[in-house]
Amino acid sequence: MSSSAENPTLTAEITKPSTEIATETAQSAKKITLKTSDDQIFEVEESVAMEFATVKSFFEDAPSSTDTVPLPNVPAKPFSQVIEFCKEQIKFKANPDETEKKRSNSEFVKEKTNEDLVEMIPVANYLEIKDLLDVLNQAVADRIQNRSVEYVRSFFGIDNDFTSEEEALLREEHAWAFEDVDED
Amino acid sequence: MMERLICHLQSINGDLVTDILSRVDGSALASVASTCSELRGIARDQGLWKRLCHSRWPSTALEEAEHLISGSIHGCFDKFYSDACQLVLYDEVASANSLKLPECAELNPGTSPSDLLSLIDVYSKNRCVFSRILDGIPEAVDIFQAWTC
Repeated sequence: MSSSAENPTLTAEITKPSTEIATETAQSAKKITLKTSDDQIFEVEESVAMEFATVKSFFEDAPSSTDTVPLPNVPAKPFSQVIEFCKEQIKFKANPDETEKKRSNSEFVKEKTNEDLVEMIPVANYLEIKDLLDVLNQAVADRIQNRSVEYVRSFFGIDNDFTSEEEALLREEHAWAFEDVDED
Repeated sequence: MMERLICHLQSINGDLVTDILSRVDGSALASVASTCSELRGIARDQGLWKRLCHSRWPSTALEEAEHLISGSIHGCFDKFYSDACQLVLYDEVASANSLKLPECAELNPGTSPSDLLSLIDVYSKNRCVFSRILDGIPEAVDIFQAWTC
């Protein structure tokens, strides 16, 4: 019974091994080619690429397209981290486990630098990955909580454009807020 | 230790910044408001401060309180939050830190207790179980009588 089911495949593998392997790869993992703003080419599994709502709607408009999808607002560095996140996410689609998902998400942000997080936010926003955007915004919020004004400036790369008088006034106005901030 | 970043704020639009700021507490929001004029503008969003007021003092969500706070000549929910945090609300904390009353808390000499409203939130086991707005100052009112009516 089982041998009759296996035999044709086996024969096919023996007669045309190279074609068989190629077909199998294409079926299990169709790749989508994406090009970042800094001209890097990424070949991403279709299931992962479909996590990007922007890319998904591109293929809904042109289902048979094999073109490279340009991502004009997406630099390669944050994009590769976004792919890393989405690869993890699709595991939970097949096998939902909220606790494990939370753990995985916090693990993901924990090992990212402030710069990584802030660079990924516009990418997640452009690609419309709601879950990731939520995780990133929460991570940034957590990192600026209980921090000094200088730390927040440095976090976002902001230049202080207040005059010293304005700043003194703000300090006074918000004095209640600055009592228990963590050291930078 | 933290790395120095270069103008990352420009790549994050205002809506995203507002979303991030909706996840921090009042102190952090005040810190953000003190960083630069652009963030100050975003951090003035009354919706953000309203949410903070509501979660810290549930009575501020009552219609009469909302109406009063948003219509105040002294400013809106941001001002209310900041003033309330500076006020001597908790005696031990205040005397331990020798907090001074902010100037804005000074009342006209002619103000009588009946000119004031009291926002009251009663907590039991860390949950707010009762919120009410009362005329006058707390000492002049029997809270439990108000509760039963």
